[in-house]
Amino acid sequence: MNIIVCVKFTPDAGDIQVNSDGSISLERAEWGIGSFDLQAVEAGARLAEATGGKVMALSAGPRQINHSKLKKDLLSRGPDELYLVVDDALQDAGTAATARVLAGAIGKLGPFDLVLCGEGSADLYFQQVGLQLGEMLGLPTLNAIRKIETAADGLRVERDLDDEIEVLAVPMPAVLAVTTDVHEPRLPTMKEILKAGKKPVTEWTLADLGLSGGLAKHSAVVSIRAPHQVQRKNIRIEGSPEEAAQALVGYLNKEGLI
Amino acid sequence: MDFRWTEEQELLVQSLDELLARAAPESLMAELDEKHEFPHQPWQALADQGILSLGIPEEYGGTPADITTLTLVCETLGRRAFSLGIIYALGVITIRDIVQFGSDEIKERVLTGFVQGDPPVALGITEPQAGSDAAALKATADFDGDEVVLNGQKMYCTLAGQARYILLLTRDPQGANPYESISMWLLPTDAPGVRCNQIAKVGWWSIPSYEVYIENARIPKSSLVGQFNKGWPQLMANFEIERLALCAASLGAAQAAYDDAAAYANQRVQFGRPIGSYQAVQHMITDMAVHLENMRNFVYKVAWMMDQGLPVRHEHAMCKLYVARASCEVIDTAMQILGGLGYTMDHRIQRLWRDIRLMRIGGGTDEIMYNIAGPQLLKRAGK
Amino acid sequence: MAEQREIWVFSEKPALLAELIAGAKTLGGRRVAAWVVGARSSAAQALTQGADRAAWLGDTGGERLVEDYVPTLAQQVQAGAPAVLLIGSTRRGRAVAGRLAARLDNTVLTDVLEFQSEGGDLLIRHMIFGGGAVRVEKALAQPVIATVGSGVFAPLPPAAAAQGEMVEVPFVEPEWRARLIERKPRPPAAVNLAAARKVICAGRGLARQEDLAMINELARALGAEVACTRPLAEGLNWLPRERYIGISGATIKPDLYFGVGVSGQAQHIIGMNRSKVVVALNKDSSAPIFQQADYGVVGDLYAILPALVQAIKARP
Repeated sequence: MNIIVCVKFTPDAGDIQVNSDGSISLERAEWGIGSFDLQAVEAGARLAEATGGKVMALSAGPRQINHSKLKKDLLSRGPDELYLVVDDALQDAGTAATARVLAGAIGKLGPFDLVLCGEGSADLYFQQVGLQLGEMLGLPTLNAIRKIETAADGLRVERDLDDEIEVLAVPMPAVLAVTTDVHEPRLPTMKEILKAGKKPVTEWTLADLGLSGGLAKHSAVVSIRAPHQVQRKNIRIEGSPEEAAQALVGYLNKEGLI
Repeated sequence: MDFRWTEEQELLVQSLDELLARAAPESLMAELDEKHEFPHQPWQALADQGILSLGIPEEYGGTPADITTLTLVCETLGRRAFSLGIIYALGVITIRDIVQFGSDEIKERVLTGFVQGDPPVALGITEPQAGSDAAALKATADFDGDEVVLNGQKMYCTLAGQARYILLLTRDPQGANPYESISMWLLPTDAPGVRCNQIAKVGWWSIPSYEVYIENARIPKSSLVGQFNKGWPQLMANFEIERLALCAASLGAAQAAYDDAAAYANQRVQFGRPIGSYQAVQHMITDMAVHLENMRNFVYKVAWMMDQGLPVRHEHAMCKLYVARASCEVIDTAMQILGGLGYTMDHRIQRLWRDIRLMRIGGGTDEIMYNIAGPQLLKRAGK
Repeated sequence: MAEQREIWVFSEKPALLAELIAGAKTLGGRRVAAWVVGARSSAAQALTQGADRAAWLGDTGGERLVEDYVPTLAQQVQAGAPAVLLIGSTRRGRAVAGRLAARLDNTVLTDVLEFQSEGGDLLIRHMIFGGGAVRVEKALAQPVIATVGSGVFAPLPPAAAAQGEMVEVPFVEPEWRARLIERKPRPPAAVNLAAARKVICAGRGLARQEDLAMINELARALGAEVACTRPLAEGLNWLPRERYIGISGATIKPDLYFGVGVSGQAQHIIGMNRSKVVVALNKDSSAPIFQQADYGVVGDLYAILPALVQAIKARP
């Protein structure tokens, strides 16, 4: 099976800086592979290993993604080849625009059996790109996939829904957005880290994909601010365990909680 | 001068760090220490991730790696799980001796198993009357047809009880020059005639050491590692890198102690202020940080020199001398900052404090490091 | 002409559909059309919940999946040109929304927490950065397709009699189908965290799974429910997923939230920071949770939890 895995490199949302006026900065954040995408990469790697195929990793984003260490990190986790669409116009691209770009890139890749995406990106988590991408490619598209097995007539998947699990037969090629349950991502071994730098990387701009006319904008960002914080009492309780326990019980009593 | 790590090295440390967080969490290492148990599961996790394959030829499942990378691995192990760092470092000399001097048959026997998770080969050199004066060892090897009969008593043979093999040094009592009479043998620990008695130590509780009694143990003469009577120069070949590995692990442990102390200094409030706001503590923290900086620069410079093929005869001895003492000092100061809490068994600093002290003795005492470096330095100055 | 454009709502979950209907009615006085997949009676029910009209797409008995209705919906949206399409934010709802949007050269504004009209524009608010920030966006597309989760709108009390018309919508055969082999029921959630008035939340400060016994004891002593942070449910699998609080897990508003060994990452905080009283116990005084706490104890949970249980039990 030839598998395409779509990955988003994002700044680490844990490094978010809140300014005094409530505005947000991620300037000092380190970029990494989206945490929900790692499971998709692992699922792709395992399927390729089991069926004897290859994994093509694909990512689209602004210039920050074109970083040697990011590429090696991704290539040390199972993919055989990496394709990047690098263009600053992708800086704040919406999900539909991103899906359009990925679809364009996939059009330039060789034959494939499966496209895998994470459930959502690590920074925005809109949980849309995989679904929109599949529909744009005109392929069977499903989300919430927690298990993938090969079968005689295509793929057998389990779909994790709020109230039940659907077991489905899906024809290939297909596009699947996988949950975090699908596989524990592997830790890159020394061997894989050393090999990563030698794997082929192909870079495209939007012009290479015939998309230099601009990306569709379906919304305009008005503001990004830190959420309103409820003002808390911030009372510190100190002392020995027994003293702290007594003090806490006293406060809980006063609050009418016990 | 570019002091930065390569991206591959950064990714390796990241991956190893995450592995250790999962497979060797502090709670587990503390438990194994208290139970005096060898860390079998964490060691196997290292094997499964390919960490034990570093520096071993690919035909045995190994991964080529330079000494700087090996040093980074030791430091990371030392920081997260000091006992794993020590065990790994102890294996460096014996495994490398096998790689360099072992016959194909010996390499096949030992290396594949090690890469897959066997404990390291133990080093049988020290004896009751032969510590720093290692060449005074008295263990003997007598040829008998196709076999060799070994006799002797080894002391402080670390991991002999867990290892599958001991790299045993014997000496021919008739040899005129002891340094040309020593031979190296691969002795299976389950050979009849081999008996191990565990020694109770102040620290290194997860890394047991033994008295090993060898009474007419027979091994095939093909168990000779390298050349007959060439054991001493063979041994010396890899002492330097073993000491460097121990230094790197110690550096990691010192860093861990510093991290604990600095965090505590920011958090512990006495007389209404965090203790880190007092000059006394600030001075301690700064001294520790200076030591760490020096240790790090020294360790990685020696590693770089070795990777360049440059001789490190006195440099490595100076490095071990400094790092052993400095890491003891850093960890001791960390305990001082942690105060009463640091002296309890609940905190890991007591384990680091007990474990680090042996660094000034094992792998070559401080005094022997002086003996190596001193004359070399003066020789160079005299030119 | 524009004022006659409707707001359409869709959810395969009748309770969520009711919320969306109520919410749609707050969006500028347009007529609300409810699009229903499921039993025909659900479509009739929508008319008692405030919808001006209801369209019944069909059922999902047998082998039809909810998602099989995407081509049908797409055709209807193109013909009917609503101003806004609200879709319930469930996994199925997201799938329908995303695929629908791609067919219509549109996009989806996801998990909207609030709608605002400004001039002639529609503004939406939702969370990004794992709960670390709130983003306000102006919708530019026609229609505006948005997903809305449960709890954003409150359903209207049902009217005595249904008003408005109901139509049946012809099914458009999809180009591809996933074949349903089996539906496996998920065991019903053993816990309803959203309903609990007191919650003890275990975090990574717990070294071993066995330590949950201490948490359970405290919960019993306080009459509280037990919850956890995401790593304990998804990574370590110490507790079922229904018990984890966080941006991709449960969101709660109890009277008491007590975090034990919880550091207070933004993704978790967002799930509990509307609690009335927040108590935190952690050995790291720089843990972010302390900023979100009314009462903070810096100390060793292994010593303090037993002392606390004892202190609670010792009360007359």
